Amino acid sequence: MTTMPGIDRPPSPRAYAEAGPKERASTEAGAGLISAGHPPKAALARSGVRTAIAARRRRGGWFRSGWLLSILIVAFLLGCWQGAVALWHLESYILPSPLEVAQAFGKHDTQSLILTNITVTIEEALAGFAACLVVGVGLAICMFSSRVLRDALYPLLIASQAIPTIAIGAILVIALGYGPAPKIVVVILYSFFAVTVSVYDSLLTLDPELPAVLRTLGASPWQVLRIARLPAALPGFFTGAKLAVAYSVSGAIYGEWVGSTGGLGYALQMASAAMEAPTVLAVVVVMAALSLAAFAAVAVLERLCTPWARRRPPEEKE
Amino acid sequence: MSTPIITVRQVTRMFARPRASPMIALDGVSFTVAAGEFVSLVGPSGCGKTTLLRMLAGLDTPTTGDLRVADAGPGSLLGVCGYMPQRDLLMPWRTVLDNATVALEIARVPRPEARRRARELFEIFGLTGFEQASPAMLSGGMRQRVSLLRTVLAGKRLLLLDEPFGALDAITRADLHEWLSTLLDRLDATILLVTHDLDEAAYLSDRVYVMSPRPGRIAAVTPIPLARPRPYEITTTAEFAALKRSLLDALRAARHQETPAYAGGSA
Repeated sequence: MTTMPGIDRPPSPRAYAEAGPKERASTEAGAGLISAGHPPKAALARSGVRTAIAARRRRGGWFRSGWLLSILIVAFLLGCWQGAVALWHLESYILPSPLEVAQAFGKHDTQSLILTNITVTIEEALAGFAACLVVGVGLAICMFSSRVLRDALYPLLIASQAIPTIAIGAILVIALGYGPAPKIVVVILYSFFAVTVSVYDSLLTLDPELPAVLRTLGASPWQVLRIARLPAALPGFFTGAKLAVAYSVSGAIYGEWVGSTGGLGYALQMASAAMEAPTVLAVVVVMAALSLAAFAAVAVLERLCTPWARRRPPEEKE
Repeated sequence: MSTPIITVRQVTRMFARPRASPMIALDGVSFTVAAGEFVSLVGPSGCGKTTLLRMLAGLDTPTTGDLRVADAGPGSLLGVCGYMPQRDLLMPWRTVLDNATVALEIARVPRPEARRRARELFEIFGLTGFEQASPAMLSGGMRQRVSLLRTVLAGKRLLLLDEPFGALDAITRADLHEWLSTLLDRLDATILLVTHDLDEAAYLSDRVYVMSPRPGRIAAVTPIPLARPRPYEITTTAEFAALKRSLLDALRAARHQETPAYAGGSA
């Protein structure tokens, strides 16, 4: 056992952020149908709007066919795996087959191991995630509000990402004990950077003319922040939050793996110490599902909070 | 002519450039706008028209010279005039209605009162039925009207319009010119418009100042003695063509001028 699942980092936050604001141009271009100049007939206009909305809904097709494909890919890989185990007669403790892993889920021992430990992980990941949002957004606002702070903090933040969290995990456990504290610290170290960079970048990308216009309408700096800057940074915030929530689960698990008395990372340690390879993999499956669920929850929240910044996949660009 | 509401006196604006001599955007510009007047500033790109408007809106200050707006106190000009920028800058996270009422929200007018006042103007602005729409659903012409409504709802006597129809197609632009012309009769406002469209300037204005390119100077002033209300058909009359011709001549003469000439041109 040398690597941990889920520790590898996804691509940089910038890659996510860049996918964001491009779609706006196309929606504006498509809106020219409604005549200008004379008061438009409301009924006609509304039916036009409705057709546009219906068209957008119908495009949901890519999503379903995408799911189908990913199920097929997983099925193919599982089939190869099962075939390899059967072909070379591999023992369960060397490499369990997918069927054995599935059977492990049926065992009472595995179920109770997962159920008693998953809540610990969820609590730590959530606490860490919340803390990382506060730290991440706080740092972004500090960097945005002062040039001196920006110049001072940015290099430090980048340097902080060069420190392998794996290397300091053990130190954190020694310093902070076996409780949730070191896990929360690991989660913050893991994920604040994604939040800081995306929020900071989206604060910067706001068209400077908008605050200018609001100031000519008599807005105070505080009103400019509330009316323009914060709502404009919301899509960037969610980009960061989606990355951070995925890191949060793996960060908490890593913290548990280094030293703890509970959690999925602890369960993993127990199972591998007992040479229960099918159980180890069952726990890994649960970890992946937990990450996915956390990501999906944030994505749903994003859709609800930022309906104007709906991200569309590249093939739908006009 | 009544008392001037805007007085611009010998305004010069220079911008520092790295490793180069400062760029002179405006050089000794003087003009006035009287209450109730519609005045246009016409000039090619880079003649400092927008800079001038931004200074009147309080977003910039002159290097030398003096800008006065009748309603303003001694301090900043921010919040004195209604300023409509070139791009509509509508906020996509707000509905059309909430974009329009933002000035009232800033002034802490209670929301029901703000919405009631905005709704009263939705029909005149041709936006009825789009109160709850998102700005992304509107055409370019409608977006500009929302932007103008936002400016008008700020309740200022003086409106500064920076190429409001510059990004629109010619047909939509002509429609909006006619619409704005009729709207003006209902609004009790003084308007300073910046444009590079001679038709727009001649059709809408009482007076047109022609500016020379880099450095920006007032090269000529042309009164537009067309009676109001102005049906759009006048834009094809000989009288209108002659006015447009004189603006064009002034614009061409300004481009070749080496020295400032305030009374020059063909006006």
